[in-house]
Amino acid sequence: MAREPTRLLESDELSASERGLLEAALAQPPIHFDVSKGAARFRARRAALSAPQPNRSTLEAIAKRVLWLAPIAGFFTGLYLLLSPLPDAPAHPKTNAMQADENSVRAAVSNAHVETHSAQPEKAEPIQRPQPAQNPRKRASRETAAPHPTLDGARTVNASAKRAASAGSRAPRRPESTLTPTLASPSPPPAQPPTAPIVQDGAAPPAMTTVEAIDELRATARARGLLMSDPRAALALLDRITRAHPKGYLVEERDALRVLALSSAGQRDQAERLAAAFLRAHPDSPFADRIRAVADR
Amino acid sequence: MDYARFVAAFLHRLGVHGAELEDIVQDVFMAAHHKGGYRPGAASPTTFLARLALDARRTTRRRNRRFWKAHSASLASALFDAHSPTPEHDLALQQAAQRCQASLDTLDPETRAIFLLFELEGESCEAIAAAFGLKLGTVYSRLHAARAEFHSQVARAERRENSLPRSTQGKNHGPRTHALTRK
Repeated sequence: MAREPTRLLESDELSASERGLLEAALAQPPIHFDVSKGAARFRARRAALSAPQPNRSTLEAIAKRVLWLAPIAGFFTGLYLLLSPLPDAPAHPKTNAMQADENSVRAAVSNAHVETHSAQPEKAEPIQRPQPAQNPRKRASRETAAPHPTLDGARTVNASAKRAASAGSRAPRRPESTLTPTLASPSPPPAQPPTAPIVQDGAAPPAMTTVEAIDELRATARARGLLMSDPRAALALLDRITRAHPKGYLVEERDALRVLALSSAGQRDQAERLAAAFLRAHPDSPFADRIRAVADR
Repeated sequence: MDYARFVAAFLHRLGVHGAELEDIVQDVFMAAHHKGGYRPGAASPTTFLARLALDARRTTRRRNRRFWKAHSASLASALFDAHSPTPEHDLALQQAAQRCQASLDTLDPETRAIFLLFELEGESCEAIAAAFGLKLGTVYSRLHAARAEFHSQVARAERRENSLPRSTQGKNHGPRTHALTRK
C-alpha cells in the first residue's frame, strides 16, 4: 500500500458478515464512564502534584551551606576515626551465614514449625515450603499440638533450626504461606467430575499468592478467548483450571464460561442442566441473564 | 470533542474494563499533562491520546497495579461485559461488536490499535504514524496485517458455525447468548 488505503466500511471487499461486525463495533453503545467523576479525580491528582514547593532560593541557600560544611565535617570525622581506639571485637561477630540462620530461626518460630528444645529438638520439623504430598490436616494437628515459642526462646531452638537449615531446606520467604492449605501447590484432581458445577456457599476464597491468582486469571481469560473459536478446548482448559484452582477467585466466572462453552460445542442438554444449576446457586449473578438464555432454550 | 470518552471507549475496545479502565484514563491524562498537553502537528489530538492510552495500558498490565483491588467487579465486566442487561435487539448488536473484537484478539495491542483507529475512529494513517512514532509504510503494513487477520478470524468463525450439525444447533434461531471474547 503506497497511499492511504480505503477504509473497509467504504470499500467493496467486505463480506456481509464482516460488514455487519464492523458496523456493530462502530454502533456499539457507549460504555459506562463517569466523565465528571473522572475529571474531579484528575483535578485532585493534578492539584496534589502542584502543591507548593519550597522556595527555590531557600533550597539553594541550604544546598550551599551543606556543600560548605560537608568537607569540614568529613575532615573531623576522619580525624576522629584515626585517633579513636579500635572498638573491641564483638563476642559473637555475626557473619552472613549466622544472620541467615537467625532469620531462618525467626521465620521458623513465627511459623510454629520448630519444636522447643525442651521437647525433642532432634525431631524438629524441617523448615520447608509446602509440598504436594503433605497432608494439611496433619500439618494443622502438628501446629496445634506444639507450643509456640516466643522470639526470646529462639536461641534455645537455634541448634535444631540450624540442623534443619543445613539439611538443605530453606525458610519460606512468606511465613504465612506455610499455614495455607496445599492450594499453594498443584493439587490432585477433585473427586467430583470436572464438568460438574461448583456450588459456592458465598464464602471468600482462601488466601492465594499473587502469582497463583494471576495464573488463574490468565488461564480463565484464555478459556474465554477460546469460547468462539474452539469451545471444546475452552472446556478442557476450564477443567484444568478447576483442578489447579478449585477454590479460586473466578469459580463463578468459570462456571458461567463452562455453560456457554457447552452451548457453543453443541452439548445443549448438559449446558441447560448446568445452566439451571448455576442459576440456582447464583440467582443474582451478573452473568445470570446470559445463562438464563441458555437454560430457557 | 469529549476526549475523556474517546480515551475510555478506545481503551474499552482494547479490552480494558471496570476500575482498571478508570485508572488508566486518569493515567492517560496525567501523562498528557506531564508532556505539556497536545501540540498541533501531524498527529491529531485523538491519535496523540490513543498512543498515551496504549502505553498506559501496557504499563498497567505489566505492573498489575490495582487489579486485585476490585477484581471481582472488573473481572466480571472484563469477561462478560455485564454492566447491565440489554434489550434483545441491542444484545445481538453487542454480541456482534464483541465478535469483531474477538477477531482482533490475536493481534498485538499496537497493531490492533492501528486497526481500530483507522477503520473505526476514522483517523488518517499519517496521524497514526506521527502519534505512534512509526513510519507511514509501517502503519500501512500493520494495517494490512490486521485486515488479513480480521478476514481470517471471521472466516474461521463462520466455518466453525457452519460445521455444527443442524440437530445440535439452537431450538430457535435467536442470537447466540454465550459471551464473546474481549481482551
